[in-house]
This record gives sequence, C-alpha cells and structure tokens, in this order.
Amino acid sequence: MTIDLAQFHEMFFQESAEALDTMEQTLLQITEGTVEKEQIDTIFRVAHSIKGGSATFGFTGIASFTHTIETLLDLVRTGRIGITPNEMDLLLRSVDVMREMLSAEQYKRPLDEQAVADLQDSVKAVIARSSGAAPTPVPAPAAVEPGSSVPVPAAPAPAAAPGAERWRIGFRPGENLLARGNDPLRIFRELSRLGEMSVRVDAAGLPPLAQLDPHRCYLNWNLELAGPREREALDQVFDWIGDDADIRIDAPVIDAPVTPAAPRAEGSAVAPKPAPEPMPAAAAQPAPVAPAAVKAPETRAAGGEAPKAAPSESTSIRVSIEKIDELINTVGELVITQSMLSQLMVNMDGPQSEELRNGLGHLERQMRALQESVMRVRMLPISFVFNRFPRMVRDLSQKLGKKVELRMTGEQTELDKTVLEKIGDPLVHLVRNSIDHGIETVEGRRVVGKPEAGTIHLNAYHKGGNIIVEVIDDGAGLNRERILAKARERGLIGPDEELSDDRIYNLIFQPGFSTAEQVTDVSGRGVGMDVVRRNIMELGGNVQIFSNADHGSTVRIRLPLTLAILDGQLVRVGREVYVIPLVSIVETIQIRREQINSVAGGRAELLRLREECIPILRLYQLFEVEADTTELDDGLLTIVESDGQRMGIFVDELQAQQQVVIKSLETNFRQLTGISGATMLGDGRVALILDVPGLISLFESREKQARDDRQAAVRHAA
Amino acid sequence: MTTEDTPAAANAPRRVVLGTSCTIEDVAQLRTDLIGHLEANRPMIIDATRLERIDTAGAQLLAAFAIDCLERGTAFAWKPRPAALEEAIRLLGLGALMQSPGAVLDIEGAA
Repeated sequence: MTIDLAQFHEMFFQESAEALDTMEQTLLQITEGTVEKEQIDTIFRVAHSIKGGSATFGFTGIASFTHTIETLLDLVRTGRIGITPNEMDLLLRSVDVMREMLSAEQYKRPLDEQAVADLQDSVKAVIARSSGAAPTPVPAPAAVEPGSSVPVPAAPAPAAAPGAERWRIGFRPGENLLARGNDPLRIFRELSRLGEMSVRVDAAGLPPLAQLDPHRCYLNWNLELAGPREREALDQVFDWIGDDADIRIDAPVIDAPVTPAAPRAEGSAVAPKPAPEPMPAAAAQPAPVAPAAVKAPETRAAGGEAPKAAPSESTSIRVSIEKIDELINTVGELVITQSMLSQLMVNMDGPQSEELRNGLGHLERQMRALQESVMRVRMLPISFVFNRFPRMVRDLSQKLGKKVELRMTGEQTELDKTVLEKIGDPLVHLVRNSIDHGIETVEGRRVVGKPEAGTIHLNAYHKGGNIIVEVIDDGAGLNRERILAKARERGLIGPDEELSDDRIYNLIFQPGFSTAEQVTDVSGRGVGMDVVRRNIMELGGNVQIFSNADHGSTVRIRLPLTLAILDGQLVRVGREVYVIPLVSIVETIQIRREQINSVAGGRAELLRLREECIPILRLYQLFEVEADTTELDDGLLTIVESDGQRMGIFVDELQAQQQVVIKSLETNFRQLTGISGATMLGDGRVALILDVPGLISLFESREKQARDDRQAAVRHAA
Repeated sequence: MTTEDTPAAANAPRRVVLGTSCTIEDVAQLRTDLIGHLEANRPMIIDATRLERIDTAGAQLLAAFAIDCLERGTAFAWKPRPAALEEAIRLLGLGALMQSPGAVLDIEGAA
C-alpha cells in the first residue's frame, strides 16, 4: 500500500484559498507608507504557509512563486523597503496569480505561465533594486519535491552567541501528521536555518517493525534552538501543521551555549562515530552503540502504544458539508417523527395520556432547539462574501477614475452556507452597478456639493427569521424619468400608463433593461439586474429598490436563513395537501363568478383584480386529482407572484402555515417542473411543495401548446 | 529494494539495496521487504548508495528496523550512508538509534 498525498490536496487548496483571502484583506488595510508589524507578519505567514504546503505536495511552480513573494515580504518586514503603491499593486496581483496557480493545480486547468513569469520577474526586480547594485539572489525553495531531502544549506545557521536565547520546543505529532503531508524533517530543516539546534528524539512509542504502521509518526521530539529573537519566526515554521501536532514552545532561556547534539555530517557517506546525544531523563530511548546496551524491548513494551497527542488547543474542526447535511437530514426526519407522535396524541385518552402529552411537549421543545443548533452549524458569517468587496471597489474605482469609500456593517451576520455561496454574484453585480452608474465622478460630486469620495455601504442584519442585505450608495440615485422613457420606448408600459415610484424602479429588473448611455465593460449592458433578481428569487428571497434623486439608492435583499426549511402555506385540494412557499403568496381571496373572464373559447380563465388580469390555474386539473369543488366561487384563489408575473391558484381550502422540512424530489425521484420538493406532514402524509416560478412557466407552456393546437385545428378545418 | 546474497556461506551477510526514494509513498512496501530480511536472520549490509530522497516516514522505518536488528542480535551495517540519509538522521536526532554494530560485521569483507 502506498499513500496517496492527493487525498490531502483538497484541504490544502481550501486552506490556501482562505489564507489568500486573509492576505488580500490585510494588504487592503495597509495605509500607504505605514505597515503595521502585525499586518506584514500576517501576510508573510500566508506566503510562507503556501510555499511550505505546495513544496510538500510537489507543486513546484507555486512553491517557487511564493518563495519570491516571501523574499519581497521579508524585505518589507525587515524595513528595507516600504509598501508604495507599486509594491501594493505587485502584491495584490500576486494574490491573484497565486489563486490562479492554485486553481490550475486543483482543477487541472491550463495556466498562463507567461503572466506568472512576468509578475515574478517584476517582483524580483524590486528585490534586486532594494538590494543595491548587486542583487540578492533569490535561492530556490528548500523543498520542491515531495519527500526530497536537500543537503544542509551552504550558508551555515547563525551560531549562537554566548548567552543567546534558547527556545525549547516540544513537538508531539498527531496520528495523521505524516499522512497529511507534514514532514517533521522539512520543519526541522527550516528550524535549523534559524539558529543552532539540538534535537532529542523520544522513541518510546516506536513499535517493532512488524507492528508499525509506516504512515503514522511514533516519534516525539524535544528541540532547543538558539538564535531567533522573535517568537513569530518559530510560529511561521510550524504554521502549516495546524491541529496535526501538539507543539509547545517555551519562553527562551538564557544560558551558556549548548553544543549541538550531533556533528554536522557535511555530506559524508561514512557512518559517523557514535555520537552521544544529550538524552532527556524522561525520554525512554534505546541507548546507542552496543547491542547489549539496547533497552528498546523493555521501553517499548512499557510504553505500549504510542503516546497520545496532548489535547489540541484549537477550538474548531473542519467537517465536510456532506456530514453536516446528513446530520440536518436526520434531524429533519426526527422532527417529522415527533410531529407524527404529536398528531397521534391528539385523540388519545387514558390515564397516562397527560404524562405522555407533557413528555411530547418537552420533546418538541428540545427538537426545536436541536434543529436550530444543527442549522447553525451550516451558518457562516456574511463576511465571507463581503470580504471580496474592498479589493473590487478599489480596482473598479481606480479604473473608472472615481473616489469610492466602502463601508461594511453587520459582517458577522450569519446565514446558510448555500445561500451565502449563491448571494455572492448578485452582490457583485449590485456593487459594480453602484460604482459605475450610481456614484458620480469626482467633478460631478463637487458640482452638486457632495464630498469627492462617494460611499458604498454594505449592510447585513437579521429581521424576522430572514437576513436583510443592503447595498446603499450616496450617488445620483435612479433617474425616474429616464427609466419611464426607456420602458415606454421598449413597450414595457403603455404611453400614458402611470406607475408608482416603486413599480418604476422595479422596471430595471426587466431582462435587457438599461438606461446607461454608455456601455462599459463594468456594466450597462442590461444583463445583470434581471439575473440578480432571478438568483435571489431562486433562493426564496426578494429584492426591493429605493432611490432618492441626487441622494443615492438602496437595494434591499431579503433572504431566508436556510434552504433546508421553508415557511409554507398548506393548501388542500380534495384529499391532497400541497405547500405553497409563503414568500410567493400575495394574497388569498374568495372570488365571485362575475370577476372571471373566459378567453380562448373558455379554455383559459382570467381573474380581473384591481385593474389586473390574472390567469387562473386549477390545481386539481394540473395534478389530476379529485377536488371538493370545481366551481371557482366555492373555493379559494391564492394569488402568487414570481418574477413580476402573477397567477391565481385555485384550491379547496387553506390550512395551517408552518415551517416544513424540504425533501429533495430530485435526489429521491427526479426533477418535476412546478414542484420543488416534498415534505412529510405531521400525520405522516407526503405533501408536495409547489415551485411557483415553475408552475407559471408550466402554465404558460400548456397555454401555448393549447393555442398551437387550436390554430392547427383551424388550419386543418380550412 | 533488491537483495543480493553472498553465495559463499549460509551465514554470509545479505546485501539489502535501498532504492532512490525512501519516503511515505514507499514505506509500506519497504516495511514488508525489511520484515522479510529480518526473518532470514542473517547479517545484513544496508546499501543506501542510490538513496536520494528520504523523509520522516522513511527515516522512522529505518530506525525501527535498526532497533529490531539490535534486539534480535542481527548484525547489520550501513554501506554507505549518503548525504540525504545523514541529514535526516542528524535533523531527526536518530543518530543513536541508527548505530550499526559495525564490530560484528566486516563490511569491507562482505562487500
């Protein structure tokens, strides 16, 4: 059996992506000319970690590139150069390139090698300039091949001066350290470059060869290192280890210099003379040299299994989303079972029924708490999405020659990971639109007496079981008259039709609608806002827009906290119960016969409601079930809306409104237009969840088919 | 890894030749091979001439092998210990564990 390091690539890519986000955010926080030590250390750590990881996994290109970046950062860290706009630009571009390189490795995509080489050369040029006439060579990264062993560096480690500080490091590998691509040898090699190092190994846990799992690390180490003044230098070496080892770094002690344990081999191929290493009293290790002196059997037997790694101080773990979804699914099943039990109890009498009812009441409360807790596991702060905007706003405003300040509030507001992933692109569209069309140029703002720099405010907060995300700008606002004129020109509204401001502003969500006089590569092609709304509607949310001429606009997005649970209205048709998402329902009304117009020879029905004609969908016809009534004035009409289109769904009865746990039909059966999923009701019955946009498009395609059939019949008769 | 028996005598040293790589990707097979050699209960010469790459997993395996040899009283010697191996031994502090009882084996004679 060989170990496949590829299984750990995913974690490396994920952690590197997060680290690059951190690097980018920290870079953007740097004010020109002044770099906080903490900031440069953070950035340096990212480059160093990615270099180490990529070298371990054999991504030589990334290791080489990050090594160059690390060299540049080291010059900043040591105060030899500052971060001017040029260096800032180089570093931000380097972040992009590292993302590209990682992505190319991850998805086996082609990489623009020339772009990488050009940028690397630019960085090297800065490094060379800062080093004067004789450029400091940038040596190749220490390890560029997995498992490779590079000889001791030519440059000897700085010798410890008498009285130098000596750090004591305890290194206890966890079981998976080696298997995850972390190699203590590589780490110790890096440490040895920081200063004079002595190594003491504890092999008490090393089992006989026959019992040894060769992919597991059984050895522990105690190191002493003289040299580095800063703890950060040590932390950076161990940075990539994460939770895979227990690392204890004790404050340095100042004492007489200690002779290194083993002599430097200097590349000798001859077995060295037995070199007595300083052995700690506690380290039960076989004594060297003579077989008679070997105490390994006793120590190993006494030691039994390898020593367990000390508890990690980390407070979080990385869990796959599949495991969490499985947990959520199981809890969903439990909720349904509990609901069924409660339903059974309704008509139950008997001496113990009261106790049982109380018990079920407790169970219900606990289930709700459990469900909320489990749902919270999938929740992530919206900062994961917001974090991309400082860079975007900086780049775009520079490109457009505008001054824009970004303000973000509520970044810690949490929402479901899936919602979070899908909200990113719509928000990007909105922010780009705000910068391009909303915020005026510096001159334009000056003319109307505004500060030169416009503001874009991203705000997030919870409200009534939903999350609200707002994109607010203090730009020119929407031009009401221009939108109206464009809508009339495109025939979206009648020439004399008057609309409320709300309706007018909503016209910008129409496909292809743009009032921009100039189409730029930033925005203005009219593709975007309709996609924004569609994406948000698909998430079960909605979007509103408010605007005030010369004062700016606010786009307000309301999103559900999760996609696993839905606020639904239960409706009954005959013996069947269906769930309509509450977010889609406008109102439910009783109608009178005279409000109905039949068109197309009685095949289609329209409800006249407040100057609107709304098509009616008889659910019993669509799903071919037996209804209580087929008379429209005997039942109820639930008016639903999607993408600006309304439709009346004819049902027998409205039942409760309740949160339902969504079960995917697609996973368990197949996708059906008009149905987004199913749920289990308290009495054990399955109810289909209606997909309103799908129903509307299904209704329209059926109407079109009927129309075509009629026309064909007419042609045939003629 | 290959093995070359010296045909002269049943108890003649067995030459165990390590490959170019002794890393976590190789250790499973190497462990199986080394166990086989141990069970032969003959003196061994570990020829690491070709060894270029070694990591902690590889060094740990060789250390466990060396200890097993010592415990069984199986004589063995390194011939030679290339730079990569020396560096691993030094940095991981395995010098004492990897000592070969050279006195019991005439390396040159076996080679």
